[in-house]
Amino acid sequence: MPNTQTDSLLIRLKLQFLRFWDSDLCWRFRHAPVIILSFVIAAGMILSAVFASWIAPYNPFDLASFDLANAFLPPAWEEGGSREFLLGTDDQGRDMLSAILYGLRVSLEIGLSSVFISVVLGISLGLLSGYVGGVTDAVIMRFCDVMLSFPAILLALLIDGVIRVVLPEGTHDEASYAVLIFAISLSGWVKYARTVRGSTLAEKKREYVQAAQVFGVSSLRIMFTHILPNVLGPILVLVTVQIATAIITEATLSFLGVGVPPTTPSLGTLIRIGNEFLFSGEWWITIFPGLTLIVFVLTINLLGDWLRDALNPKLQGQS
Amino acid sequence: MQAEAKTQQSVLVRVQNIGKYFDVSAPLLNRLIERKPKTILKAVDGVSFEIRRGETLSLVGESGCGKSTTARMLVGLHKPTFGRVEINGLDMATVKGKDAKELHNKIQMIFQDPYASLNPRWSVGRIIAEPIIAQKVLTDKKEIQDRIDSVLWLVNMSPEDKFRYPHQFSGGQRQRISIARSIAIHPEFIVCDEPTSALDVSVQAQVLNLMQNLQKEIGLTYLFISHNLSVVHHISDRVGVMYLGRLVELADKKILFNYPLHPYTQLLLDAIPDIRSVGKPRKKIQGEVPNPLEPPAGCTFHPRCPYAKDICRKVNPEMRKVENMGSIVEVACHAVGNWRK
Amino acid sequence: MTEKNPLVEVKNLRVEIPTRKELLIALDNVNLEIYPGEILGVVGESGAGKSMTGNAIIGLLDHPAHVSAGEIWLDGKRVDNLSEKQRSEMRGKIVGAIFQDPLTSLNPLFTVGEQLVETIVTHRSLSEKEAREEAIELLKKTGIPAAEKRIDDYPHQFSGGMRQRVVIALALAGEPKLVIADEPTTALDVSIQAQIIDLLKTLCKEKGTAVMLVSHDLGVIAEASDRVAIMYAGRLVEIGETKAIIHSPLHPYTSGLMGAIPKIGEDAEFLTQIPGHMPRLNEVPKGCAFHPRCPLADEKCIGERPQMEFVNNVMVACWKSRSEEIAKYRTQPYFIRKELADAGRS
Repeated sequence: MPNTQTDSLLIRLKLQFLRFWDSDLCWRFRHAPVIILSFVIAAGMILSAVFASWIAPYNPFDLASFDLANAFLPPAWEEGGSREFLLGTDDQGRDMLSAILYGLRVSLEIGLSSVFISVVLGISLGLLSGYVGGVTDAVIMRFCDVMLSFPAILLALLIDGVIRVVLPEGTHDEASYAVLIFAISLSGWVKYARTVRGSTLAEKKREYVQAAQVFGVSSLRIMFTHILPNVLGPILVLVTVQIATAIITEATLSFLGVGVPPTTPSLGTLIRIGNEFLFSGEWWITIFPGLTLIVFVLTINLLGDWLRDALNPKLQGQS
Repeated sequence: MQAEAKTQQSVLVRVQNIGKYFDVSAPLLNRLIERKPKTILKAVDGVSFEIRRGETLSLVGESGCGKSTTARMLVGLHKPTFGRVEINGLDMATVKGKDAKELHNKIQMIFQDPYASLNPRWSVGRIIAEPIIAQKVLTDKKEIQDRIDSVLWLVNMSPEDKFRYPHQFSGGQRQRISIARSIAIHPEFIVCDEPTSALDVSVQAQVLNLMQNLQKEIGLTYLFISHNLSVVHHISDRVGVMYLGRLVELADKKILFNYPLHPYTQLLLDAIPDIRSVGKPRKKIQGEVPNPLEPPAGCTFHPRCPYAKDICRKVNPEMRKVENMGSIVEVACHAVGNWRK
Repeated sequence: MTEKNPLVEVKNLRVEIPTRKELLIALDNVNLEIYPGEILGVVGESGAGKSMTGNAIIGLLDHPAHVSAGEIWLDGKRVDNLSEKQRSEMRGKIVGAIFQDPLTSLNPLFTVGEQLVETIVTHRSLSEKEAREEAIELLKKTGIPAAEKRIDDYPHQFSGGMRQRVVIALALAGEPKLVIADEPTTALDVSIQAQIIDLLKTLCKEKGTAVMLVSHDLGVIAEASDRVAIMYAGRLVEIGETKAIIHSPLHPYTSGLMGAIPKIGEDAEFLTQIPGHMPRLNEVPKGCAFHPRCPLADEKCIGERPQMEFVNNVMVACWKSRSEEIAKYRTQPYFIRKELADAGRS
């Protein structure tokens, strides 16, 4: 006897997927080679970062796994390089390839978590502000203005500095991830709040919202089930761009020395470390992490840009 | 006492002198610098009427007359600045708890724009189920699906349509989905805000026929808002004409259309393009609706009125009952019964 | 109707819109003529192609819609194959346009006077001073009080009805031979509609300007136009003198439309309902486009597309137009519910 519950669920999912595949968005995607390439590269990088522990030849975070004797080896194709260390090693003897993979993972972890928090915070406050209006709106918007007047890096430094003082010695390293994520998300949420607020103000006047109000649907339900799905479009675009920004912010902070602890280096840390050796000839220590960062951010930005144009209803053809 | 109770019972909606003022003043700083007073828009300025069970009352008028705002006050989208709205004997402003729930159950609304009144991301089934779920009228999933199927059938659509999305339907079909949604919880009173104004003529005919049939089949009372007098003539039992936030005439349909008393009603009727008057010129009409922010003093219609006298420029007439062709009509005009018989 | 040569000749016009999924045929073999000084009403429901026809004549088709076949002749010259530059020279001088929304038809950054003077100077050989006097005259003619002062006002300082008058003045400023008015009164209040229609009629008769009045409102068309063209699914189904068509429509669709309009003075309980809806451009049936909804349809209607024929002084595209069935066919008001239809009741 076929199980009608799961069957109908599968059928519905299949229909949803086909509907999506056939949509304008997917069609444009399939016909934009640059975007497909960007998507493949970005996805490839993300996947290799996720599966870093399985892919990387060494674990650069394990202090026992590297040997100072292997320090400053150039990439494999150069003179003096070895197959064991494809992209060379750094000043501590860590394999660059592994370091980059793990570093990318750290960067992604921090980048994605902070974006996630930013999004949740920003959307909630934006919805509230736009829908409820009045004093709530004014207060939240002034709060946004205040937050915007601080540059992100400065804010992160500030928060980090405060936490350093507050927390007892020794626990700082463990807390640094959380602090970093907190700092970066705090500097990023305002964009979402503003965007969502604008869209909410427009959607609020539309008749399907008024209809729901007539039926006695609670404001909370209206905000999250009616308005939210319809204002999500621009958010998607912001998110892709923000991921790149978050990673760069983290890299900057790590570069400045207030990011992740040096035992678990992110891309930024690697760039910083390598920077000192750039002019003494060991270019690979900073160039490869730098290239990785550039390529990743570039592909994400390209995708975000394309998404914004593709989702813009004015540029779409007749449906 | 008995007779009074009976007529009381048959009145479903009683609106007593409601008004809605909007504060559209410039921001505080601008006002202080330019020394401007607060600007108040009197969208609705004292309107009273009753709607009896099973009848269709239409409110008709041009832009700025306040008919949409009145409609929205009746369903709770706007809170009246003053006045009282009573539905089924319950005062909308003070009702609480179980009674409030009862009230919500009884009133529904249909909107003008068939494209904006349905959430584009929800399936039709979910759209129709929303009022049922929001007011917990039914909780069993199967019962809800059955209810959705039955209202879709009532509006001449098929049960399979509940899996589709609004953009897959035409304007007329979307309006029917709107109607299906509004009858899903078996209300008694439906406020219709220009439901056919955005529809083509042949589609409008379908929707109007449907609404009339439903009224008979499931016993509905309608408040019908429109600027289209022909539609209003077709569908209503009684008609109220509004101008700049007030009612100027309220009468049975036949009496109003054949023996209009208020000069504005006459002007409106003269202005309707009639397809049978091919080539015949219409009467010249004077003026335009004045800016609702600066209504004329006295009777707001006096600048356009051919019968205006001194008193019209000073005193805004109240609605009073007069006899017209054997029926009681309410009209707000100094001239009627005085210098115009 | 007259011996004069037509001002506008549309011959076998076909407008196609290629989308990524399919090819939509917005106008399919449309033939019509507009004579100098007459008002031709073009009636149809949304998607029927009435605005598309007007846009094709002016040359303002929205890309990717384009004229794929047929010819458009204006004042003795062929215009559909002109370059954009030649087309824009023609606009204002030969063809003027009035669109539905007076707010977006006028440039909010320039005064009304500036816009009028610019048009007059461009298309008529007058100096700026003369043009300004002419502009004031035009505003006076369109019934704008205190024209000498109002000419220096900006569009937003006018009310909706006044703005539409300015748009009319602007359309007539270049003294065009043809004005295409696309739903000029739809956005206006009823009492103003009457004034605007009256104005359009008077001015155009005075100057001998031909008007193509596009509207979905048959009442407005009945009052203002001399002849009327009924469009359905991108095709012309009936065209002729307005009086004749309104009193005795030959095409079943026109009949249905007449019956669907509520009329004051009639007391039918229900309105005539044409079952179904007008097909979308990608699902136009073979044969007669109206046959799925037509109570008189037979095999010929399903298989062959009817051609325009001259019947009783009117051009109509219907296989049944000469038959007796049309004479017997009266659209009754009815309401269909499936089971009622099954039970044979109506």
